[in-house]
Amino acid sequence: MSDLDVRDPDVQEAIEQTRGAFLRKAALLGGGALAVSAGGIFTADALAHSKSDLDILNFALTLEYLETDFYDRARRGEFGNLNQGVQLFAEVLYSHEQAHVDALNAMIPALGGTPVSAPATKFPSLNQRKFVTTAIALEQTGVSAYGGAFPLLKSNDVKAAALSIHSVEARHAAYARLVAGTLPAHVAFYPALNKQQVLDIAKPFLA
Amino acid sequence: MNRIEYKGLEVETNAPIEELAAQAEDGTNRSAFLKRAAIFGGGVAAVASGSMAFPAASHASKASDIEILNFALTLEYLESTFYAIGFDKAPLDARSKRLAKVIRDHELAHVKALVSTIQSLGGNPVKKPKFNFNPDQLYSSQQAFLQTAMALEDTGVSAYNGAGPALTLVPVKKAAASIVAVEAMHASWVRGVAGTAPAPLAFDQALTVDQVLAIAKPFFG
Repeated sequence: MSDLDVRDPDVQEAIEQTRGAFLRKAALLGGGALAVSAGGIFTADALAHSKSDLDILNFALTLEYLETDFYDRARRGEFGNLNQGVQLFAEVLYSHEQAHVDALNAMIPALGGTPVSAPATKFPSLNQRKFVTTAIALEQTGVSAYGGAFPLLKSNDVKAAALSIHSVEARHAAYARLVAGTLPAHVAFYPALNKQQVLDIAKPFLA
Repeated sequence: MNRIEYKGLEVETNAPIEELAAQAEDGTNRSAFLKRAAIFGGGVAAVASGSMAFPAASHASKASDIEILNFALTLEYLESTFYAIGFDKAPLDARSKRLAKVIRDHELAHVKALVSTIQSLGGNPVKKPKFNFNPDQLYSSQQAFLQTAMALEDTGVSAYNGAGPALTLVPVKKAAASIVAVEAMHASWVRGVAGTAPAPLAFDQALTVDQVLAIAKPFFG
């Protein structure tokens, strides 16, 4: 499937670049994630609308924790040996989801809320193929969850942060589908899901 | 922009994986998708039907949403035209040809949806602009085509992300979210086929209208 080696210095560098670029990009977010982690500079607009937005952000945090844990297990070999392309996929998605967790964990207290703890998770015994198909399902659900939440958000700062994550989840979904060898963009309009629908899908993975 | 040399993405389809992916889609996702598609009624479809009124929306918020939708429409015209010409004229292998066809069709669907949405809000959709595509640069090789596609898709994602917070009407927000996710999927797909990282950053950037126009300017005649 791939002749790419994650131990290759070039690949390591690519992963590191992804992280470094994250920090730079997060700085560009301005009113978004990083301004918050840099010291809680939120606008009056964000604070005034914080209550309902906080519930949504905490729900997003739960999903990001779930995804982070899933890719962490994968990259550590819990789902068996992964070939190099799939290993890189797991490493990249792990670093992104962890960055989303960090951003949400910084944003929620800045808005006056308390971040939820990482949920206990459980995954069935997966091999490489099932890992990739489960990744497709999780990422697609993430896209639809953010897509469903966006119209409910009140603060423009929170909307900007959510959108900056939403499209990355969509990139992940297409990436997972690419790795699986299936059509990466299968519909012209991506459906949204509400909170209960997302929970129903995520439930089997929450212990 | 980070470029990652990524031979690993030229995935040789491993039949069992493809089969499982198809099963995952058919079994869990497809039926769920159809249900969701019905739920999706609040979005583009409902707006497009023209039956949805926006009694609570102020004139000003409607006008501002229409302006943003017209800007999105201009970009969708640009993308759909680019892929239509690329599909017809660029020397593409089977994999890239399929990409060009599928994305072209998605962008055309976005054009139609945006035109209907703007009309249902009482606005006038912008006409299709005149484009100035340099065939030597854009369509002379598969790699030139993919590089341009990558720039257009990444810009499209950032354009929607930049415009999103300013939207006021819920059905328009839903429509925008449903489209930007697909633009991001396109970006990821094109990048993968071009041999670069599908998801190069943990957070996608937002661009202002002026920033987007500066990037897109060379394509307008």
